[in-house]
Amino acid sequence: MKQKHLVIISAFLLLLAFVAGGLLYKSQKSDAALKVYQSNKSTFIRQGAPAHGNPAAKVDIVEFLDPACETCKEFYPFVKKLMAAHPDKIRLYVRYAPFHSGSEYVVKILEAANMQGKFFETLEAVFAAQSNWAPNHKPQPEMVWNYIGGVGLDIKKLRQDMDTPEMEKEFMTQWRLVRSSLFQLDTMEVLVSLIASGACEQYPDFRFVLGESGVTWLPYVFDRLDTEYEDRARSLNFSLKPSDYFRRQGYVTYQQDQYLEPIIPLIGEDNIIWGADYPHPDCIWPESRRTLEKNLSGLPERVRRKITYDNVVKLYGLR
Amino acid sequence: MNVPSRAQDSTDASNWALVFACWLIACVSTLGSLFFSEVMGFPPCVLCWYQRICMYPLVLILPAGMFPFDRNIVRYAAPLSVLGTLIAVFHLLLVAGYIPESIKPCVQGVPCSEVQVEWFGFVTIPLLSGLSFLVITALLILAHRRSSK
Repeated sequence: MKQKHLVIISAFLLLLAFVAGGLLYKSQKSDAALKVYQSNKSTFIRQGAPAHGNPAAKVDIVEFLDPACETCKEFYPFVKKLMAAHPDKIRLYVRYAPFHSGSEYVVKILEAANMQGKFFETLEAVFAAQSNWAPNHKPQPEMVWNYIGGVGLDIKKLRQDMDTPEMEKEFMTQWRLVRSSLFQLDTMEVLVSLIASGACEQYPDFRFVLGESGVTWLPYVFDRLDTEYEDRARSLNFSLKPSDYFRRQGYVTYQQDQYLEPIIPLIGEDNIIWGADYPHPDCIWPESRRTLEKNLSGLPERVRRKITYDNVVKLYGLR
Repeated sequence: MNVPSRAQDSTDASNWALVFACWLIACVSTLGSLFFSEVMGFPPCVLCWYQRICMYPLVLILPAGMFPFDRNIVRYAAPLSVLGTLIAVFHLLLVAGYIPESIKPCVQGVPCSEVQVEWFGFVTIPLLSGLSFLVITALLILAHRRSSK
């Protein structure tokens, strides 16, 4: 019977070692995770961010949301329920990820409401009316004012608080930088759709102009368009390479692109037209000549003349 | 029917100890592999599963031959340990790159050539597995030789 005892005791000790090892491993791992969180806490929890729940709670939830986002609206009650189910055990911090254009305006409203201690009430009102002011992912942020009247906010103070340089820097400048840096690229889809539609193939006399769109992104789109046409759209039976339709029928205008020199041969020197954007307040006039000199200085006189004079004269028959 | 002599008794006892050692190795290997997959969260690759198929039954089959001690235990335990050794060797050669990609049995999930554990720069999971199978096989053969003398 000694042998049997030996086996039973061994089995027991092995299982015990397994369980103890497992527990030790798990606790070491969660300690390590906690340390990582503690040392990175300031990344997640912005000073003064809207917060709710017991400040001493062991669990922090940092929720990034966009007031115009439908999923965020659906998710909000879930988090609220979670907090209600575990009273005093969770601290919720709200951060913003305003990906919809226009959301940043609503974020400013929410931030100003937070100064009056009514962040969550305002957020709930904003979410409740989301389908009215942001239908189909197209926010009309000014409409939000119609839906937050019942929250009990001091609207006059709210408007003042919204309009400070600090608020501007924190919530508007970076989003505006993204939009203004990239808005010209919206023209990409217009150009590619136009050529893909076969309009240029069917109407060779038809001329089109991409206005105020900038120039230097065109070679990339040409490359994509030609490559994809070869790869999977040859059944459209174009008689020209897609980018050559642009060279035959398209024009593009710009104000102040840099790096033009290597780009011009890829697009076609007969298709580029310069404009000052006058009289828009952000136009380059009266610095137009200096800008032209800077951007076109490396080009031969013939090309400079085409871009600033000949091409537009030919296109519109200005003679 | 032969009445077992005292010499035979003591051989049986030491052979039992060898099989017991095999069982301990099988248990440690089984729990170790479960620790890797269930506690540490490494998903086992296909070759790991084949080796598990050879290792896990040993934990139950060996005691069946230990109580009462069965001199023929090698006949049903060694096929598992030998096959396990072969799979582990294959796995090791795969990890070392001696076996080309195309022969790999793993097409989905975790690639068998992925090294998840590397202690002291050379101890990998397939190496541990191969050593366990090899020692179990060697001890079983030793026990068999001694009892058939």
